[in-house]
Amino acid sequence: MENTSNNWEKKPREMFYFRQRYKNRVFNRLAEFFAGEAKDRGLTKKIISERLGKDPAQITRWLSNPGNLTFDTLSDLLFAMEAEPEPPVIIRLEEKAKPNYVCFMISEVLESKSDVKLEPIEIVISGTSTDFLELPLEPKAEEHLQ
Amino acid sequence: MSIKDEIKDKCDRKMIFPLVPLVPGATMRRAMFISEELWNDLNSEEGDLEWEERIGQLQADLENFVTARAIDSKYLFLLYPSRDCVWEIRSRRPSPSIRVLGQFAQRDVLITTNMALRKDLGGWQSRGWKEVKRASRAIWDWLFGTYRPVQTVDVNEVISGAIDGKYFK
Repeated sequence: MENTSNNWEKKPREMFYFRQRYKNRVFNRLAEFFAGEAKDRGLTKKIISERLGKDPAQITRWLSNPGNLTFDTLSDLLFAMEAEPEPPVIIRLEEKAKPNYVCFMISEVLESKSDVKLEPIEIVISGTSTDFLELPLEPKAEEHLQ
Repeated sequence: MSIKDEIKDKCDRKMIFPLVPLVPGATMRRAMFISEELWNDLNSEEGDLEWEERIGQLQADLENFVTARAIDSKYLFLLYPSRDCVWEIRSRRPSPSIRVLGQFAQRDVLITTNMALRKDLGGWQSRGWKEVKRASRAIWDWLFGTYRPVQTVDVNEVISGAIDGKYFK
């Protein structure tokens, strides 16, 4: 087994970056889920606050900023939404797949080339229909999405 | 020259820079181009721990625009008055809270122009806010001349994946 401990050159900035990136991804998923429950089932922050015995303002604070979330509050919020999070998928950075979609403007600027033909796919997010040009998803690639 | 060509031209001249996620494999759903000042901050020399933490988190918060499947109104907000077409991205933790201002060249293409510390801005009709919004418009005009940014109060006209909410005061 290769000993990589001597190859560690990561800097504090990267560590803080990855922390915030993870918080943002979790928070985004939570916000998206709550928006869906609000739309589909009439769930409100007031209902959540009543279920948890918390001040509604506290629920608003939890749902307004990734920095306000802890493992406990995330679990509690989802518990009140009658849901639970699944454990995160853990992937080595070196094994992460290539992105399965790149915004046209970025790809034009970077002049990236893809051998895969792009097919238009309609995706519904929180009740809003949005057209994407997206590569057909491989099951492994789909896990890497937020 | 189309606005796309203008953006590419400004990138070639290093007047704006595409924000490409640092982590490999991130899906780039939207495009963000950042000003030279912000680019220099994100790529600054290593500073003290407080600076490193703030910049690392700001990078992640900006990339959120590019990679997130869904965006909510606590993150992206249209500043008053809407006719100025200036939007803000909120990078709120840790303190100091940072506001990154920008305007949309088209749907899912945000040009960030300048940023400010929230504590320096005061109330939403304050002189501080007026100055940073004015600076944002001036930078846009300098970059793109006669091309106007997207003017709308409907967030779905500027980004895909917007969660229902209030994006405008």
